[in-house]
Amino acid sequence: MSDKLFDALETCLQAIENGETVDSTLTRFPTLAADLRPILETSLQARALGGLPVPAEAQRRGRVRVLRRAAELREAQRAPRRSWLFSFRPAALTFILAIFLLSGTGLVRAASSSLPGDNLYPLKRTWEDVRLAFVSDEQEIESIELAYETERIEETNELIARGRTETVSFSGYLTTQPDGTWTVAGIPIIINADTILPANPLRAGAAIRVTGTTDANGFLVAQSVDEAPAGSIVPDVEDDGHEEGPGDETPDEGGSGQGAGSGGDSSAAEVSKYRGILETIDGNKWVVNGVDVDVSGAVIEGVPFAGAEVIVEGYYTADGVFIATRVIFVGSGGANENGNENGNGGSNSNDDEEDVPELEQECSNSGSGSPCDDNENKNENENENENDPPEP
Amino acid sequence: MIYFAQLSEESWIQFLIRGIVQIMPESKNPQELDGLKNLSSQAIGAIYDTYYPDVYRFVRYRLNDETAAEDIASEVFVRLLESSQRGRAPDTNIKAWLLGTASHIVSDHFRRKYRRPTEELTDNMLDPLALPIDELDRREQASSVHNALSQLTNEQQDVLSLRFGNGYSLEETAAAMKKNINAVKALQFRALASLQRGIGEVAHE
Repeated sequence: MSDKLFDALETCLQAIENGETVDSTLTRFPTLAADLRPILETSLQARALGGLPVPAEAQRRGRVRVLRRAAELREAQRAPRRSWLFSFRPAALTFILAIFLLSGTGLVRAASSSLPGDNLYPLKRTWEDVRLAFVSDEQEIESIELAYETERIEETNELIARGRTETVSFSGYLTTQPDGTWTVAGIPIIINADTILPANPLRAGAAIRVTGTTDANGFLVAQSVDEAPAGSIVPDVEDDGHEEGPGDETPDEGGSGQGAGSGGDSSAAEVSKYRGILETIDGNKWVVNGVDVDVSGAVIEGVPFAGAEVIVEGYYTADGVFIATRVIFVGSGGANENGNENGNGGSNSNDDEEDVPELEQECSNSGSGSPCDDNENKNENENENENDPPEP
Repeated sequence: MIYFAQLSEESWIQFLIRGIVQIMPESKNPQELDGLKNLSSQAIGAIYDTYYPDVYRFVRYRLNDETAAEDIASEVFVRLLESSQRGRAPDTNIKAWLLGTASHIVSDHFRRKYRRPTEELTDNMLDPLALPIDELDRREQASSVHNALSQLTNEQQDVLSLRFGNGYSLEETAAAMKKNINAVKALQFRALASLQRGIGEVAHE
């Protein structure tokens, strides 16, 4: 009896979903109608609770949260030593204090020139905390913190100069170079598909915090970029060009000024370029890595589809929309390898003038923009390359 | 549209293959799981985009609170990452894992709310004068159904969320709950019967 009732309910529910009324479905089960009617009427109320839209904003916010957590976990995996230090900070602090009391400042002095990855580096960082803990004057704290932040940048420069690969994290002002690369506090950074970007698009002149890995080519491959928290100390390091040959004649001050001012003027806005995943396509409004991109005036090379890896070239308007002038679809492949390739491609971009055949290969493999840009006459070639089957 | 005209024959085939790969999300489960273990942003982003709407609808159906639903829906994916790092990732069926986790978090949420009964600002507490009468009626009714719903057992709430919140068929609901079809038929009958009694009680109070 009850089995029959359960089956009848399911049949009626399906019929109602297909547009029938409660009355018309009940005609099929005249003997069960009395039992079924109140249940079916309740089902209408239960159905009315559903059908709410999924808010796109909520989905995007959640996505940023989840990807950020993934980056944190990834970092913890890569640098167990650092996470060990963080989790035992209070213990480490007491330990260091004890060492200081017993041995004087000798060890600490030895640690002061260490770099991330060195054995003594955790000592250096903890000693910094110890020093801060004994200062109560607000202004002095600020100046010490500024000195520490500047030290982070100098460490990164030192690591790059020595060609070492270490994970670092520092704050600085974002500037863009005329050749499309980004620098933070004078250090050129590479944003790839794996980089976690903040919800709001970045602009030149913004104070940001970068976590990334130094590489032997003089770049910092960013793992995550975030807006510097309000009230945090951000050192204003003079950008001395830093191996950027073509960048010398154009000072960054102009660039950041435009970014903050009327960015809507397209002729004055600076060109920048980034690589990312095309998330959604809505006519001429695309979303790439969470950034709204207007492609109405863009030259599109390749076949657009959601999930594709793209390089977009263009500029930001004052309201944070990226106006693309050119969009290149990169043949699919491992994101990680491509990210690194991109770094190599970027460092080669200084050799633009020498039109060597190698560069063509760079285009298809790494999709790195710079070398390809000047080869307008090779556009057809490029198109063919884009459409090549993805390498395994 | 210009680029379509420029496509060669090979690229059309490429385009088709990519299209086919895109519409087959169910078949790439093993890859999804690999990407999850490696914490690849791309794989995690793809999992999120595929399942977020299902998870959100499921959670939102049980909660009369948009903000809490948003928090819980993303929390489900954070837990997926953390579990897979601890080697406790779902074996095959990510969707069922996500929905099961969502169900746990929602019932935890209710338990905490009852223990610490502070009134939360929900949609129906916004300025009632600013809403048309129809909308007020609808919200009042939805609120009484929600109250009755929250009195059901966890499984009963799950079955109603899946069928009416997510619009799943009987078979999809059974797969998501890892139950057989007859059990789900019985469960949904009892859930609706309890809900009917619950709404009646609220109306009499």
